[in-house]
Amino acid sequence: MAWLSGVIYAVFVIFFGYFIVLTLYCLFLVFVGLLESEKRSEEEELAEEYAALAASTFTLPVSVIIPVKDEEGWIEDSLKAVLNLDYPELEIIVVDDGSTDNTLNVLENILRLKSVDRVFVDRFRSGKIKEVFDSQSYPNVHVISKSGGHKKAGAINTGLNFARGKYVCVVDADTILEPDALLKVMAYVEKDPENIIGIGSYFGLVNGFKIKGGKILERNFSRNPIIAYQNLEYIRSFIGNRTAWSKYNATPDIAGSFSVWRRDILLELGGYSSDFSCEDIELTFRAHDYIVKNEKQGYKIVMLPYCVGWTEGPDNIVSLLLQRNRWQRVTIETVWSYRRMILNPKYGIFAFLTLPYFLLYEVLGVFFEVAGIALVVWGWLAGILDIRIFLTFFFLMMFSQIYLSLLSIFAFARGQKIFRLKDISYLVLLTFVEFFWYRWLITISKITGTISYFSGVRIFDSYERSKPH
Amino acid sequence: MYNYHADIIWGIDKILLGVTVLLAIFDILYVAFKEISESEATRKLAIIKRNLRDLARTGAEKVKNVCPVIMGKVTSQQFLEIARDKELTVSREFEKELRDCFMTSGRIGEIERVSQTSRNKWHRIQAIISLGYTNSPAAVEILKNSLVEKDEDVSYFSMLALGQLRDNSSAKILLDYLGSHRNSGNRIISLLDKFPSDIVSEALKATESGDPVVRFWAVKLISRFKSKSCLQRIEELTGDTSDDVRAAACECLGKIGSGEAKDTVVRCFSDKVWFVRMHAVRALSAILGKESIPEIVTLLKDKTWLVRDAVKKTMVHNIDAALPYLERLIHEGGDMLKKDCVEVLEDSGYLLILFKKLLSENAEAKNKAVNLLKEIMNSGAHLGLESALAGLGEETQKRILQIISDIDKALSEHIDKKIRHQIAET
Repeated sequence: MAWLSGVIYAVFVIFFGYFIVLTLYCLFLVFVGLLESEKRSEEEELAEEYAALAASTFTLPVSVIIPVKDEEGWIEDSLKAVLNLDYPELEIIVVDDGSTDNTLNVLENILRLKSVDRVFVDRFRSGKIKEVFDSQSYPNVHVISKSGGHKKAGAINTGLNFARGKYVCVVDADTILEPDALLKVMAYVEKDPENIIGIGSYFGLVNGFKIKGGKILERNFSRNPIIAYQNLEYIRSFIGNRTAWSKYNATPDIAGSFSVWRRDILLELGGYSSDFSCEDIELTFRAHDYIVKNEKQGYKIVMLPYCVGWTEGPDNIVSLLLQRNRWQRVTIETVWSYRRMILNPKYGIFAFLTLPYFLLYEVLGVFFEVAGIALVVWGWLAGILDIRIFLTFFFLMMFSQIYLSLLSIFAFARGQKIFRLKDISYLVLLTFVEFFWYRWLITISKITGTISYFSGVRIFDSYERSKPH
Repeated sequence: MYNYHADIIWGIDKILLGVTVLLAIFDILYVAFKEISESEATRKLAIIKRNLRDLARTGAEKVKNVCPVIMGKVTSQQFLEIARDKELTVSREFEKELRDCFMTSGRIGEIERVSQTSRNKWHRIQAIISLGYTNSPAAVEILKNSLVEKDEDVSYFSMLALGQLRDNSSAKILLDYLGSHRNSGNRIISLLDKFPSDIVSEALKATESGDPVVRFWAVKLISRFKSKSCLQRIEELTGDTSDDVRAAACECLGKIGSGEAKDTVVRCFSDKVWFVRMHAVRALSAILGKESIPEIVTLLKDKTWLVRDAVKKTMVHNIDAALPYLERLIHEGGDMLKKDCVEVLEDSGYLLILFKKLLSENAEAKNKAVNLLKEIMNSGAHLGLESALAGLGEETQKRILQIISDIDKALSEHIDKKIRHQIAET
């Protein structure tokens, strides 16, 4: 049985090595993220030039595009939050993507719409335009009613056909922006508008907040563990990973809930692609590809740690599983489509720092996890492995994850004033029990997402939505 | 049974358990400490600001004696917060007294030293920002040097601090800096935007730069101040080799609004670049208002829709002056021109006036209105008729629909159904 011993040992070494490399990698990202968010917070505190920027006649013009489909519950608040934005040069384009509910009526009530005959160039073939409206209440707001069928990407592309700002900001219909969201981000862009082609920033979950007329009245962070764990994930992802990747111009995803892109670059890229389950991550990958292919090495895609807004997260297990299933699908779709970039020296740090993580953790991680557990359980049941190795390894994984979470929370807490002591304490407490259930929910959704991908599922499946309170 | 160094891993587990528990406690304590210290700092700052506000009411002499004592005790962070508090400096006199107070408080020397020599980058940047608010005699020179440092944060914040000084010398430094940092043009100009208008002389000098980017931003800055003294130079720049500079010069002439520039702007109508023509249309419209219509109307036939759009906007705002031209063009023009004319009529709200004329007792006015309605309907761009009719009373709708029916029965029936919502939009 020496060969069996050798095989099991080799497998053990592979799993252990995988785990150690991944943990060290995450630790590195968290430390870089900590330094980077520290730097940005200092910048934010010292610059405070937002008021001057808001009053300047030379602020860069931005077109905000809000793709909407059956969002009668959210559109009023999200649109009013955009209307409340403190920004001098703003054009707002709402694209109704064939809603079958009351969305268009809600828009009519807020905006007093007037049908207009508008000239536009259809660059993307993103669906038939049914009608174009101008708002009689807000001269800078336009609504485009189009037929559905081209996913969210199609709706954004339609908005892009009409947009005139130098920059385009895409905002989800369930996102409530902070009034200074655009100023914070565009103040950073103004540093180098020729080279910053895409930019995003941190946003949290709106669940539990009290909102009226697009204004946040009370910031009560939901104690629903499903929501709290997502908040924790957002902190780990935005502060721990994305801010660190951003330092090396290796950001893999400007999240669709709030993203700002230079319009001319979006046009050159051919707009958003509706061939994928979700459009944001693919666009960011394509932008990296564009930078390399067009030898625009100075171009930057940036992720900031400033809190710019709040978006709705699924508040029950079924909705969460559906959402994460889609995320897993789109990750595999995108990584597979751009597999030629992995470890390709032309793509620099993006190819060596970000993409291997996506491949090894986001795509293949679920296989390692499931296979590792299966092997250990089988070894234990077969009487080959000592139960202690199962337990010690389990604890090692658990404590490492808690450690990384706590570091991310610390990095986050240093630069923000939104989460209070009780909120942070609750998150800290939750980190200790995450490994006993939430993590496995995510693993299950990744498994189903992977199965869906190989079954050819490419839809943007929506989950049950709640209305803002 | 294999246990693969379980004892060692268990040892690591125990260490990690200890570390995570400590880190968890640390996180909570850190946030608690941060909350307390922030609220304490806010409280202290509020007291200092309140004292300064009270002081402002007591008269210049007392400010001169007491303020330096207060400022001598504040921390660097508090110093900066006070310096840039707009509420504290609402009165111009007190703003000046406060600046003098900064100078005599004994803090300036320390700030100048920190801004040049501190090894802690963020302390240094804090001092640099403070310098921008204090207006110390050495500030310009210090900031000029730190502006060109390699560290991009130091350089960036020096730029912001120079933007706070708001005098000719800092404007000159920023405009010179623009030449070597062209990508920062927007940011620099948005800082210069807040400067007093005397910096126009520096901007005017910058229009002589060999670099088109500098010339462009200099013109943009002059347009912000609408300075007539620059008119001649700006007119010259409408013949610049750079398309952007020519467009900016046209825009600037519009902002200045002097009738003397009319001929120069009209010459730009034949520029080979569309956005120069577009800005020229907008400029002439800004200079002459409705009197620009006879000049700009020729550009309603321009091949670029954005130029035509600019013409249309001017016509919409001056529909009375534009009407004779629209009536002629809608009759003589091609399909695209007809559509544009109809769009102007719709957007200006003229259709409601047209409806009134259609129902007028005056036969001549009515005939003229019917003829125009025919032209509108024949143009193939009559979508606005429905929405304009929808806002009228039922009786009026009927009468106008009857007139439309006399011209085109099918169209009249279609509009009738639509305004009664008997046909859904497809």
